[in-house]
Amino acid sequence: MTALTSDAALIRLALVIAALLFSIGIAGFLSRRNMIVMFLCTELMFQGAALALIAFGKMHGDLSGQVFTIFILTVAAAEAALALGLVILLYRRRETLNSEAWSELKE
Amino acid sequence: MVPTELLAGGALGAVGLLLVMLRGGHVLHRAGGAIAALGGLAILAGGAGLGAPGADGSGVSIPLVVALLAGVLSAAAATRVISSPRPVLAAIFFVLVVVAGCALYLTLGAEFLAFALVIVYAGAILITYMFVLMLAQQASGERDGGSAEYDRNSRDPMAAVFVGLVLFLSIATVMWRAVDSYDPATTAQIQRARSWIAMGELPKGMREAVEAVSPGATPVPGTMHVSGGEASIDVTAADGTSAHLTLLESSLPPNTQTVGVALVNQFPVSLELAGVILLMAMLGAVVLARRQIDLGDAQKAALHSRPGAGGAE
Repeated sequence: MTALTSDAALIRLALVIAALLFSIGIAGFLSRRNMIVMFLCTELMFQGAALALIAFGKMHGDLSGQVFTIFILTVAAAEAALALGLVILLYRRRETLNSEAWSELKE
Repeated sequence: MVPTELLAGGALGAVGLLLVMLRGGHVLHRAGGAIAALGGLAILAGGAGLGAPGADGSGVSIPLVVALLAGVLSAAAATRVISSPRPVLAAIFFVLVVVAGCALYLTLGAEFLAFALVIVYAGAILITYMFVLMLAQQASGERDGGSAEYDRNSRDPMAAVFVGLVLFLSIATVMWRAVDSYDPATTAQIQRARSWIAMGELPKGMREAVEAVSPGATPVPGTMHVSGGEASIDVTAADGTSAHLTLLESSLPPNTQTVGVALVNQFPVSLELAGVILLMAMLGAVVLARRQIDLGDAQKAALHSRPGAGGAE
């Protein structure tokens, strides 16, 4: 392993945390059965992606990463509003948040 | 090849996460948490390069320590988000992930986004989640020990953790290599030059920057020249004579101003589109919320016979 300047170490640490958040998010999305917590796990993956964008922006001395994160934020807000509305609809139909109540969809 | 820190830490973390998610019992749960914590620490310490001191002899700097603490906090909280049997606790731990992430953004010099994320994520989106969690109050038949059966038992934790581990190792390895091409001196110069160019769009900031070098002078618009991270500009001095000044580094615009200039100058169409997306999402949410669902007679009867439910009908 090559020696790093402290800025490079900071960026590498941020990127590793981003990868960690993203993969914890996907593990949670696959294993949780509560629909709301599944959406929470996608937000976790959003956090990882945003962190990676900002760290890469710092690495290249470019602000596009931060600007793109602002757009991600917009999309995440829109997604949360729509997805939670859908969850409420699904809940009203089956009276449960269990995603396996909808498992006939895979047939 | 995958760096050994990532491989060892990732494997340990995955085993610990699996033990936590299997809910085999109190002792196993605690042991899993400890193993996952060890693995996470190994990954983070490897990422921060604690094994090899810095090339510039600085070793561990304060931002790096802050980032390490934030990383430990966000990884631990993220693990709790996916392992907590109570959805409300999961949402609260997600707030912790966001707050720790914001500390990381601060160390990376993205001050505007750090605070914007706290306001939008921790403030707005998570409140929506809380409302939905309350609206979708679990039916009493599902309750047992405070949380529903589908919250206490994970679906295929082994497969999920395996997918997570493979994904983590591949993403982190690629990113790990990417940092090797990082050149701090050149990047800092590029960043300064871009900030100066953004400053060219800010007449008030430019006037203040000129004032800081030569009081009473006014800048001549469109004469700024940026090279090698330094900016110079033609000015008209207080007594009417012309001069050419080099601006001070201390008058570089702050992060919020440069982000704002980049947002409006480089991505005006995307900005408009973001507004359209938000408007469509708002309309969509209203349409979704208005829809009535026709339940069958049997379902209605079941709903009304449940204690504490269906009072609004």
